[in-house]
Amino acid sequence: MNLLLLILTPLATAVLVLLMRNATQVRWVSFIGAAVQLALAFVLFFAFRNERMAGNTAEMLFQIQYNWFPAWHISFHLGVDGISIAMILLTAFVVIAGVLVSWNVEKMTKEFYFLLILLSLGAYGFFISLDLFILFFFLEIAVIPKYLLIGVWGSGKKEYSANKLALMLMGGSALVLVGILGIYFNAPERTFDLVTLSHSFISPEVQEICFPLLFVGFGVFTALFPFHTWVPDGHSSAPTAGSMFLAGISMKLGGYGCLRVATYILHDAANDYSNIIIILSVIAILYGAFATMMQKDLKYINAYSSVSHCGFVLLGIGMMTKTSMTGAVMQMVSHGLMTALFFAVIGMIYQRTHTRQVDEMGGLLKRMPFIGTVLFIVGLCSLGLPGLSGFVAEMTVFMGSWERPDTFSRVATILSCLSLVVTAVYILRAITKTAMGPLKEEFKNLTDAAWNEKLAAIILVVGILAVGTAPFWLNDLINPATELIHKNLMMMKPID
Amino acid sequence: MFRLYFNIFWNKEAVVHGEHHGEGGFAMMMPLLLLAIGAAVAGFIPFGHFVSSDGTRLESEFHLQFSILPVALGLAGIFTAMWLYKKQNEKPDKIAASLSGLYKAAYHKFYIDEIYMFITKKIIFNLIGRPAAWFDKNVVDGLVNVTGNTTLKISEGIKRIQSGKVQQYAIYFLAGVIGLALLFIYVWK
Repeated sequence: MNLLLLILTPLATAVLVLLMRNATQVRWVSFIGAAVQLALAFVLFFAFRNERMAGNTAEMLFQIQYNWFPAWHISFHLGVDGISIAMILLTAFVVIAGVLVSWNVEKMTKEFYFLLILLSLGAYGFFISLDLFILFFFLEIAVIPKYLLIGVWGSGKKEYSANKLALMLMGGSALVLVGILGIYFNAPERTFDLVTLSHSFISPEVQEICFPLLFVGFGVFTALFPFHTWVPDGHSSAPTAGSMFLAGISMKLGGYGCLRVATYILHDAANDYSNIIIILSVIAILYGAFATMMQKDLKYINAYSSVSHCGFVLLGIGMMTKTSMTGAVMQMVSHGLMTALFFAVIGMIYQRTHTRQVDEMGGLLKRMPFIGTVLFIVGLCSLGLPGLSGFVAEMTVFMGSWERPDTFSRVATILSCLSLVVTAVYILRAITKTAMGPLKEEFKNLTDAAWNEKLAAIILVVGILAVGTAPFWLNDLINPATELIHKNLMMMKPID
Repeated sequence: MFRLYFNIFWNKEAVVHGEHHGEGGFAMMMPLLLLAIGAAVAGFIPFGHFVSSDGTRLESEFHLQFSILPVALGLAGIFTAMWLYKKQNEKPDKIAASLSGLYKAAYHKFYIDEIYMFITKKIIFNLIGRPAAWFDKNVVDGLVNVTGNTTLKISEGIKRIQSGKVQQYAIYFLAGVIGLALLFIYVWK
C-alpha cells in the first residue's frame, strides 16, 4: 500500500472542506474523508499482516523515500511497523468519532472541521515518518490547530488554556528539535533517517545529553510529571472533539516519540535514565489518580485521570522489557479510545444538562439510557475491568514491569498497581453520582443520544471491545516491533 | 441461623396482615425444595474423587473423634438459640445488657464499615487527595504561571531598551565595546 495516501486523504479532505458552500456539505465531506481514512487504516493493517505472514521480516514495510532537501540530508522517508499501524488505527477511530460528535458545531463550521482534519493530517504524518526532520514537521502541524480549536471554539478560560497548551507543547517541541539536531550533528553519518540512526554508534556523551531533551520534549505531550499542567486546563476548555483529539491522539504523539525516537535511537542513555523515567511515571500514576479523586468537573476528572493513565505508558517504556513496551503501546491505544469516548460522553451530557459538575447531576441514566450506558462502559474500562481494553493494556504493563527482578522495579510496580484502587474510587463515584440516584426536576425533559452521537460512541466501544476481548491481534501486531527496540536496548547495555 | 429460625417461625403469635398467603405456589416451593435437597445431600458427594490438584482421587476417612466436638458445638448453639428465642422472654435483652460492649460492637459489625469510611474519607481524601490536588493547582501549575508572568515582567522591564533612538543604541554599543575591551585586557589577558 502507498503510504502517501494516508497523508493525501486528509489533505484532500481539508481542501475540499474549504471549498464547500454550507455547513451540511462540510460535515458530510469531513465524515466521508474520515471514513475513507478509517478504511485505509484497515487496508494497511491487513496488507501489513499479509506481508508479515508471507515472511517479510523487514523492520519497516511499505517504505517510500524521496530526497526532499539533499543539502541537509532531509528525505521524505515514510514506512510503518506494528507500532505505527496500531497508532494509525487509533487515529482513524478517534477522527471519525470526533467528526461525528461535532455534527452540531454551528460557529465557523468550515474552519472548525478544517482544523480538525489538519490535526489528523499531522498525526498520520507523524506516525509514518522515518525521517526525524519530517517527523518534527508533522509534530508541529499537529500542535497549531489545537491552539485555535481551544482559543476559538473552547469554553471557560479558553484563551488562558490555549496559550498555556500551545506554549508548553511548543516548549516540548523546542527540546525535541534541539535533541534531533544534537543527534544529527553527532552521528557518524549526517542523516535524519530514523532506522539508520537506530543502528549507528552515537557516543555515550552525546546520548546522555540528547536523551533527556528528547524524552522530556516528547514527555510534555504525554503528560510527563511535572510538565502535565496543560492537560487539565487544555482538556477542560477545548470543544468536545478538541478534547477527544488532544487526549486520544495528541498525547500519543508524545508516547510514540519517547519510544520510537528517544528510546530506540539513544538506547544506551535510555538504559541509564530508566530509573528516573520509572520514578516520574509512578509519581504521575499515583499523583494523577489522587488529584482526580478531588475533582468535581467531569472534564477535569478525565483530564487528571489521563495524567495517571499516560503514566502507565511511560512506566512501560521506562521498564524497558519487551512485554512492558508492548504494554505501553497497548495502553496508548486503549487510553486513546477510552478517553476519546469519555470526552465524547461528557460533551453529550454537557450539551443537554449545561453542567459538568457531578454534584449537580444525578439519575441521568433514566432519561438517557444510551449515553448513561456508554458512560458506564467507559468508566469500567478506565478502572480496568476485564473484557475491556484498559485491563489488557495495564495488565501487560504490570506483567512486563514485574519481569525486572530488582527491588526498585518491583516496588515501583506495586505502587503503580495501587492506583487501580484509587481509580475505582473516583470513577465509580463520578458515574454513580452522574447516572444513578434520583433524577432532578430540571433534567426530566432531556433527550438521549442522536444518530451521530450513537454512531461515534459505537465506533469507539467496538474498538475498546476489540482490544479487550481479543487482544492477541494487537499483541501480535506490536510485538515484533517492540522486540526490535528491546534487542537494540539489550545490545548496548543489558539490564542485569 | 437458629436465632433467625426461632424468631421467625416461633417466638411471637403470627400476625396476619390482610389475606393470608400460605406457603406460596409451586414457583416458590420448587426452587426452595431443590436448594434444600442440594444443601442436605451435597456433603455426601465425594468431590475429592473428581477434583484434586494432581488428578488422582483424594481418599479420605471418617474419624469419629474429630466429629464429636464440632457436632456438639453446633448442637449447643441450636439449643442456646432455642432457649433464648423459642418463646418470647427477657433473657436475650438481659444478656445483651450484661455484655453491652461486645453486643454493641457485634451489632455494628465490629465497625469495619466505619473504619473503611474513616480511612477513605478522612485519611485518603483529606490527607492525600486534597493535598495532591492543591499541590498541583498551586505549586506545579503555579510554577508554570510564575514562568509566564516572570517572562512578561522581564519583557516589560527591558522593552524600553528598544526605544528606536539611534543615539541610545550608539551608547549601548559603545558601552558594550568598552565592556568587552576591559574583559579582554584585564580578565582574559
